[in-house]
Amino acid sequence: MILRALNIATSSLLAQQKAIDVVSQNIANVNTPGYSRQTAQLASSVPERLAGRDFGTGVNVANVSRSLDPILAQSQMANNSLTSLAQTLQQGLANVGATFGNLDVPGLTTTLDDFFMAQQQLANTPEDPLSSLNVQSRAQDIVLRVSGMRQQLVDGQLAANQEISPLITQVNNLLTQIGGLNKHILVNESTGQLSNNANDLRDQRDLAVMELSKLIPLQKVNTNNGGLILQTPGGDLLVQNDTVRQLRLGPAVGSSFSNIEFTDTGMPAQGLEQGGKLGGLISLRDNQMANYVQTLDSLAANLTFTVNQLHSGGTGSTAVTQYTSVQASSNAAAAVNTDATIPFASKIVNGSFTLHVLDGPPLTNPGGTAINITAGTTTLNQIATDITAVAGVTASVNASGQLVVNGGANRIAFTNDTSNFLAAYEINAFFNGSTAADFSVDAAILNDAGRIATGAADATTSTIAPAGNSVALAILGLRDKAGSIDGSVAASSVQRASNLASTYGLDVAAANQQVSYRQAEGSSLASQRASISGVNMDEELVNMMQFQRAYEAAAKIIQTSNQMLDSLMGLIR
Amino acid sequence: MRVTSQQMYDTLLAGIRNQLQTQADSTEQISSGRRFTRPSQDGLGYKTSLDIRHVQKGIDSGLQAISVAKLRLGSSQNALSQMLPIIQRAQVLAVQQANATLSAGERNTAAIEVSRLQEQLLALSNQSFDGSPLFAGTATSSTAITLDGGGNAVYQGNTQDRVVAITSTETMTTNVRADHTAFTQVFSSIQTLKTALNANDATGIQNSVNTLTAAGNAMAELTGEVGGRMRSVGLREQTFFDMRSQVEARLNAHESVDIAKVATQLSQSQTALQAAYAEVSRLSSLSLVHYLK
Repeated sequence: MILRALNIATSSLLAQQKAIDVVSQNIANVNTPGYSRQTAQLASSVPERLAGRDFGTGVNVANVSRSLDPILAQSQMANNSLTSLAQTLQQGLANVGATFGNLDVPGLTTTLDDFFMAQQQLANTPEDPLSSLNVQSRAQDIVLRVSGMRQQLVDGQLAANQEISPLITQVNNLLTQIGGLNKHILVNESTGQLSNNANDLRDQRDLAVMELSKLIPLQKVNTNNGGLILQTPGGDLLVQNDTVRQLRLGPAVGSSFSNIEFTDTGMPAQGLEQGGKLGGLISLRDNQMANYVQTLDSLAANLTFTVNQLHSGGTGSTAVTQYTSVQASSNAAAAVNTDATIPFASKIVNGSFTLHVLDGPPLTNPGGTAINITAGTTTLNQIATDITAVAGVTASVNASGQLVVNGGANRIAFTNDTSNFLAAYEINAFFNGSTAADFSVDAAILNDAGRIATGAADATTSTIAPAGNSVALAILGLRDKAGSIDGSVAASSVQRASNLASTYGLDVAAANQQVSYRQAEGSSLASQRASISGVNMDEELVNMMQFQRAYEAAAKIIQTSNQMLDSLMGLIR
Repeated sequence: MRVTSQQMYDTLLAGIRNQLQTQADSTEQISSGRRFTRPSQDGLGYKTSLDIRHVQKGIDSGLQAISVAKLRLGSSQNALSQMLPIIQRAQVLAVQQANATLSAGERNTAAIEVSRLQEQLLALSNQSFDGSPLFAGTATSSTAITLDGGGNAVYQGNTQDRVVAITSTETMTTNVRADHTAFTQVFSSIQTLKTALNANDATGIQNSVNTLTAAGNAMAELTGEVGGRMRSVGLREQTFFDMRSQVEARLNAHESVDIAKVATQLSQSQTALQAAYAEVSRLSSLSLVHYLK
């Protein structure tokens, strides 16, 4: 029986040593990211039945388990993904913050206000050349501001897009790592190499999944055999045990950016925009930045067309004898409102414009000649023919497809364009272009501020009063006039600009709020995890003392048993 | 709940981060004097600021336009006012020369003075403003009035008025055209007097007294009308000044930071930050390791 006591004490020595090993492992990993506290589960050995009674055989370490709450881990993964999304948006939006200006530096709204202020001065002193020069300068300011803002935003889009490619490499590496860890865990746990519980490998895999969730949104399913399935929110499989599906950047579609697709099938990965850094970059590129660019494009298009509608029917102080359309037709024999190369062709409607030829005095046609346009019928060639039929002027379509109206020595002017033809083809235009990308002040105006229209030819006599200001007043009227030519919500240019800044501000506020909320949520979840899985040094030291004392007690039993054996051996001697 | 040292460090770190953010935000607000300066700090507030500044620009622009209008109307009123004593002098001459006892020589002498008066009226009618004739509408390259062979006024300008935009939708006529009947009456009556004096026609001179009186009245009425417009412009200007003050006050109320409140926040944040730093150093000494040595 004494030998039984020795064996039991020996099992205790071994068990306490192993338990201290676990404590040591915990203390060693107190600062290891993703480490879950481990506990040695001690269990009494199977008893022996002797003479109808059960006698214990000692103790052994039944299992080394890790402390983990799977639901908490799932919440952390989801929160990681959304935190990363919000942080990426916050950072990306902050990077383009300077684009929208601030209250101390003139922004787009100030530039637009200054333009209309200059326009008001021109309307009030139309014969003053300085007023025209001021309008020319302020218009150029708008162009520089709008095109500069657009370029900065497009650069922001490109920067987000460029970050996606290396991020996909990181995602693929993590997917491969998770697949590899899955394989190891399955092998180790199925063969019982690590007490059927590969705790540290599972910690490593959990950590890799957490890292991955910061990059892309995930759905995680744990399988019964210790394996793991990862999917995108759209249900596409990423990892199943040791099977890994890699991602890649697909080809660009038209003028859009590339989609992210699976390497094996070439099919797009669904739902990646919903979370993670990748989702943030996609959202920045395709939502926020794209929205700002579209708003700027719309502002430029509306300003260009509405100003040109008025300006094309006016005259400045410079006597113009030839006008050439800025827009070139791709087919002068087709109806003018159907030409796909003319951005605003669809705006041409049934109507007319009046052509004044100042070939006198006396004038051949005082009051001008109406050139009629029927949408769907009238061609550019027809308009050239109709203009040529007017005394003192010729018109033709040149090799580039531009309409050239030539009065020779005669000054010519247009008024009362109810068809929108002059604005669409940018004849006597103020601005050129149809988006913020090609937005510019008409070259003729840039070369000569006297081309800025202030008044208009008289409807009855065709005379042009140098101090006339009807057109300048009409353009000034656009300052607070809400309108839309492209289906966007009707607004004035200044409103569009202030709405753009406000939209940006609200996007930043939303991202900031999400970051704050998600970080608070993340802190709470991390605290809960630490509460369950974290290593508490005090606890471990107390455990160590317990196991140490148990070890000493077992050693004492061995010593006592030894003394008992000595006594026994003494009787024999 | 189990608590680990890591949790306590994390909590302290999060608190320090928040307090530092508060410090940065408060310092920026105090140094700029504004609650926000960038759209990213308050999207809706920033838009309101832009809208108020847009109104401010409109008011400043309107005040500039009003000064143009006042200048033109003032010049017009001044010129018209100067015509009135000339017409009155002509009336006086007409009354004097209507006396049947005066000789033809005396009337010829008076006619010379009337001619000078007519020239003065013509000069005033063709007065320039900013390089263009004041009373010729929007015409710039001609004088407002010439006299035909019979000494009658012939209007050379056009029929477009000088319109000044006070706002993008509100305009104001700031000129007087010389094709107004007052001008026609003045030159017609002066010419009538001059012709009668030269012809030693006492009856004609007597008749011209009445036409001159009517012309003087018409011119006085026109001058009064311009004066009325000047007062109207003045009232509009006062409205703009009042609006400017109100908008300025609104902008200040909207953007300005409550310095006392922010300074208090800053002070509170500093205290919290100091306490957090002290706690960080104290935390490291709280461990069982120290007692097991």
